[in-house]
Amino acid sequence: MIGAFVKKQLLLLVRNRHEVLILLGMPLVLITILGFALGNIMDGDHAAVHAKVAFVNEGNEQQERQTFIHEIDTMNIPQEKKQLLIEAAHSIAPITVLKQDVFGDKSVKKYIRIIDVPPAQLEKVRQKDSYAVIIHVPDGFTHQMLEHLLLQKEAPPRIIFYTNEEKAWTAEMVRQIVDDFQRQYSIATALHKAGITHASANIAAHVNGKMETMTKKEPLRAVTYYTVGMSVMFALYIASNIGSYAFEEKRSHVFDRMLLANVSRWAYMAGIFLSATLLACLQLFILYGLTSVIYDITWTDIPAFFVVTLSLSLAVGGLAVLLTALNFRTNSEQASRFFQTVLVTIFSLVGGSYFPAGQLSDFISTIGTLTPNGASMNAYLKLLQGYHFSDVAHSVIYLCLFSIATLLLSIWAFPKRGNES
Amino acid sequence: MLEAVELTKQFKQTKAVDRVNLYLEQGEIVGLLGPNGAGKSTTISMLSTLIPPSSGDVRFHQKSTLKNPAMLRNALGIVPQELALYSDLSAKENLRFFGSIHRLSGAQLQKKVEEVLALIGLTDRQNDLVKHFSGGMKRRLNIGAALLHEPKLLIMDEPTVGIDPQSRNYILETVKRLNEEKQMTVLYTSHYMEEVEFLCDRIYIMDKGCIIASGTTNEIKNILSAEHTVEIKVEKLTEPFLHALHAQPVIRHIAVQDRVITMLSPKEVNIFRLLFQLAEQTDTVLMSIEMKTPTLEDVFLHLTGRALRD
Ligand SMILES: Nc1ncnc2c1ncn2[C@@H]1O[C@H](COP(=O)(O)OP(=O)(O)O)[C@@H](O)[C@H]1O
Ligand SMILES: [Mg+2]
Repeated sequence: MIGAFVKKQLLLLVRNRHEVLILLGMPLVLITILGFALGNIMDGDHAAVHAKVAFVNEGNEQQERQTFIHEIDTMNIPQEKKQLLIEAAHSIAPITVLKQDVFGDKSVKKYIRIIDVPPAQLEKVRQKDSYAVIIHVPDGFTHQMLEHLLLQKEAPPRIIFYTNEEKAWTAEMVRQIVDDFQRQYSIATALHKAGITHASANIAAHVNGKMETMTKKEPLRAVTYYTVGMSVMFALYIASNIGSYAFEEKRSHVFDRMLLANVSRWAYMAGIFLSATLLACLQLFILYGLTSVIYDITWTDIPAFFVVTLSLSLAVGGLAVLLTALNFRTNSEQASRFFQTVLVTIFSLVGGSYFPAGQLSDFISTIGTLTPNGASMNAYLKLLQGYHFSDVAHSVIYLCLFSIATLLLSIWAFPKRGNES
Repeated sequence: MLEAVELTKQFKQTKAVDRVNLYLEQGEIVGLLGPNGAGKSTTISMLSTLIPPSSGDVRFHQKSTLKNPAMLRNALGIVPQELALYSDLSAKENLRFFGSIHRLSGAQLQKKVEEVLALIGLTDRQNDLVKHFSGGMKRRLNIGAALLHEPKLLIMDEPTVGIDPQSRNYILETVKRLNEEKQMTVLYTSHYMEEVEFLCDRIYIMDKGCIIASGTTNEIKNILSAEHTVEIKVEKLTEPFLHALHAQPVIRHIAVQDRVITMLSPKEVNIFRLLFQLAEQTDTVLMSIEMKTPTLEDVFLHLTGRALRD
């Protein structure tokens, strides 16, 4: 029976050319206009990734090196060897190299912003999730490093990482850079000791080269940005449309026929939910399919793309049921109308469909990610930049929760008999 | 089979239905007659469990349906006053959908849809969109949608409003056939007297929320047995003549249309002599005088002092 509901809804929408034009034609036109008329506002220096990295340094490079030199001085070894070790120690500054040459490099700075955090605030920073990763250099790191490199003592010291699960992929990237740096640093020092090359410059070059290949993040083209922005915005119209269709069923007494056929409100709501979810999916697939052909917007991680699309469609499905319930409750089309004219506009603005509004302030950014279109837009854009699924998983989860929340609200709002007046 | 007991519906301002009692026996066609706004549709909505009564009860096979409407709903086919159809779907798609919600599927659904299409005479037009249908075709489909699950009881709310005479006859014949061939019990609502007269075994007449008369067609007409309906045609309608008619206590319910005057008078009065006298006194030329057998229309006029359609 629910299959019959879905089939009926599909037929009704397809027969309504005007609506099909709005749901598919309008976004395509807007993508073209906004994507090309406004030019490449997203291009150029605009960073694709903007991982914030906290740098907590408990050690003191200079002081630890002094201590080490002092220790060498008091050692019972030939003067000649002492001189060599002390000279070498003077050129070893792992933290300075990491900060200035590796993270300070222009190409790395494009992706990562290092923020120095005093050790006293480490715990506080760990509570926040605005950092992709926290790099914690423990006390005595430089000293241990010198002992390891020059006296072949113990294992090399370790930098401690605290990674943010929501930004797992970015965090992993930073960790690899640092790990790689440590390994390269050892090799370079060994080479330097053998008098072959100058250490630090080479390391930075090597690590940065690796960084480039790892991030491969293309700056977004405007047309890509608006393909996502318009698609998620017009998906919302499916919800208000279905809500209006449902109200028309009530107004024309077709809904009475369903009541008389003992169709439960659960079945009715399920029909609405499935229809809207399916239609949103179809609409998104068509829009993304067409834009991938026309504007060469390619999705490399197809499974992740499917999952994000499905979760957005579920959210749209939930909204459709909620609007239906509110329309029935108020015995008018008000809820649908209000959503269509006011809410979609606000959602699209803060969600970033028209311009990256999240960059205006953290507050707008947060509100934006709470809208279904904003959340899914974030996820889509990240996927297009080559992020991993784990970096968008939280958006997917949010959209599913959003869907469940709207469904629960609908169950509460739907009139018991469906028919009180 | 179905029974309304002291059924009442109070909307915010209006009492749409006021202590209505009626019943339907298996196999009957019962008429519910009344002018617009009489409360027919509201009564039907309560009978079919779509809206709850303010007070009173609806009983199906002696059991109250207020708490447990499922059994009645399964046995019920409703033809609503409004066209409860999808105008962007074809006739066949509509029927298939309404069949599905009655849990029909596969070959059974297919067969039922074809059968109903044939019954309502839309087999040839089954693939046309409803929005391209004439009023009569839409009305027929509106009826067809109520028949897919083979209801035992069919409730029709003014199923012939605003359609051509041909479609109207087709519908009336169809209702008769359903009753005769499938022993379907029918409650037929209308404000057309002649339809109810043609179809119904028994009739309820409703006005302003109340049942004002009930019985078999003949019983109801016998309400008028003590009176004649007289129709006269005058050459020229004059005020004094009308005035004189009104002044006669034995002449009641005078209605004027062009040069035709309709009235009721008791049988024992010699109405011919009286009319000639009045005509002579007021210089009015009588073209014709006709005594008519009473119609339900006359009954309504008699009961309420108003014509049915005004
Ligand atoms: N939902 C409603 N709310 C308020 N008044 C109503 C409602 N439905 C019907 N009425 C009023 O009840 C009266 C009877 O209406 P209805 O049952 O439709 O009459 P009928 O079908 O005989 O034309 C009318 O005066 C109408 O205005
Ligand atoms: Mg009515």
